[in-house]
Amino acid sequence: MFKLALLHLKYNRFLSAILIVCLTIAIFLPMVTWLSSSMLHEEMTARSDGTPLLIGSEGSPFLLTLNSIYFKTDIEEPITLGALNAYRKRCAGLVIPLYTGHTAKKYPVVGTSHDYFSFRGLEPADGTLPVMLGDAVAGAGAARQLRLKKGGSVITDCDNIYDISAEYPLLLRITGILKPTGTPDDNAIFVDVKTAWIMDGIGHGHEDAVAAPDNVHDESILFIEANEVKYNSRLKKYNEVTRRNIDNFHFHGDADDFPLSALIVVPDSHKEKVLVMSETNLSTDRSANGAEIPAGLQAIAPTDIISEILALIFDIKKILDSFSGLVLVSTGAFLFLVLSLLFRLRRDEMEIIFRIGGSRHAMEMMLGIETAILLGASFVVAGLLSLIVTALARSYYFT
Amino acid sequence: MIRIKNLDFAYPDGRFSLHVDALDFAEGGRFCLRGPSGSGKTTLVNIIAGILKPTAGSVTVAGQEISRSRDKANREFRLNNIGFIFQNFELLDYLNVEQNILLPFSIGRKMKVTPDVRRRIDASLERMGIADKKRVYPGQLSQGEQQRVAICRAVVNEPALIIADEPTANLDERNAANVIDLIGELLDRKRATFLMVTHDRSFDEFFDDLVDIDAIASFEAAGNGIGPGSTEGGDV
Repeated sequence: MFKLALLHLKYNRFLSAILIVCLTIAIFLPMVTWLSSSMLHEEMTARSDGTPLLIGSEGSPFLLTLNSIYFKTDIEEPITLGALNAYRKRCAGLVIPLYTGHTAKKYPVVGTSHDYFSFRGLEPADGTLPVMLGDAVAGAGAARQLRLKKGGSVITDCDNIYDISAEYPLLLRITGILKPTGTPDDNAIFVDVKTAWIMDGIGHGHEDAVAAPDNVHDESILFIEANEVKYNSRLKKYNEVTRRNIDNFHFHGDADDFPLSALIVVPDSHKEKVLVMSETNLSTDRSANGAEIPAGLQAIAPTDIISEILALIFDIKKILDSFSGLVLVSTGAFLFLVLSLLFRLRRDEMEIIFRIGGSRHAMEMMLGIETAILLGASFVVAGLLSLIVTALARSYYFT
Repeated sequence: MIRIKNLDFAYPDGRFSLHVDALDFAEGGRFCLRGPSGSGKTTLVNIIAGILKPTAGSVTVAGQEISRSRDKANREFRLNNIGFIFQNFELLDYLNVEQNILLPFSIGRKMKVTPDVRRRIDASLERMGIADKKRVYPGQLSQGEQQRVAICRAVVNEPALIIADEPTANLDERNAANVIDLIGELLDRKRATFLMVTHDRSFDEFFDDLVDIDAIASFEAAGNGIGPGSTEGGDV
């Protein structure tokens, strides 16, 4: 009977294909919604649960969370290195700086400290973590996409090519490639926070290239000035920190004012976490334990923020579910109509099969098998499509 | 091969009833069951095949008492021992020639398509002159070719009994003669018992015995009184 059902579906392949497409759509909608929301829940809570506390400038906690955890979106206002120092004095636990905002070939470049790697459990699969200015370690995904290898390099993106006062892009030396983790860290490039400040122009070096005097043509690569061969600075395309020029690099301004996008705080205890949150968000006494906590900051527990986002998403999912339910019901009715018409059309076939020696219920069995095959095929196609869409969404949004 | 005693049959709605005192068809013979439309020929062969259950009496086919067997046993008996040739050929449009011939094997769980079965199919297609149509679907065949496929299907499991219900009714004279010749050729090789229902008298010499249903059975059709006689309408 199974073979007959398969042959009937194969002979009526056009009708079978239409039925499979209709069923696939009806199954795909709720399935992809369910899979995506599960994935979303799992991914977002996994990352947020692993980040106890975030300190950032006052403003949108959503932007702060998305920026600090997923390296997506920009923050409203930076905080300062002074805040990092204050929290390090104040808090019993780990305080990790984050400085986002720069990119290299569209991949986020995250300035941080070595504590971040141990906190997230990031280890190099090849090479080492950044050691000196200009060093960078690439996440597995970024390294794969940008074909980065240990000993290679990548140049940071120029934010605005028409901004003549902007800093040159910085050539980052790749000292290592991180092991894949399936998290947003895979698609980021990590540098020391000081390297990130060089990208901002807060830190810079003085190199040998000099501006050509007026009597030298702009296109000249080399020119002689005061009996010395000089290198035309107009040809310079990017900054690079090398062992030769590293000593020339220095930072201007008050170190306490150097920018950071956020701090990850890993308190030693829940009590400490509550204290840090309340002292940052509620207390007017910001100088506990002698550490002056700057004003204008907020402390958030990413889990709470992600729960709020998820609650909103699940409200939308409920609406989508009701639409999917309607599609399912209408497709079910359509399938029932088609099958009952087919049943009538195939009465003669049933009679032939019975007269030859088949069961009186052969046709019901065949239609049942055909329906099962159609449903099975639709479930497989819808399942595969849902998995592909979910995987694409996961790789786009979470790595 | 076929033995009927004191057979009584009536359709549940009471539109037709049939009585046969006694009837014997010897093994290996070619028998023709004739009679006017509505006289119960098709009903009788359906009873012989175990498709219809008599209300009384006994029907024995190839040693099996069809009238007392359960429906499932009768179905298995039909699959293994009876080959059918229908008036309208009754091929399934979604199966090609070979798949149509193998239909009993698709229905019967215990029947296996062995290389020997495949050889038999090739040989019968060759004899029927449609060896090149093995992968062709019924819609692409002429009526004569379709009936030849139906004959191949009827003999594929080497049945002890072949029942043909008006197999030439939808064929022209030439094709009808061809079909009868081919059936004869197959029967010569297989030695199966052949029972054909027809009211075509042009093939009388083909049969060992011509049985007029009026002579062996009495029937009662709604509104027409007691037979022998005829009723208007299709086969019953």
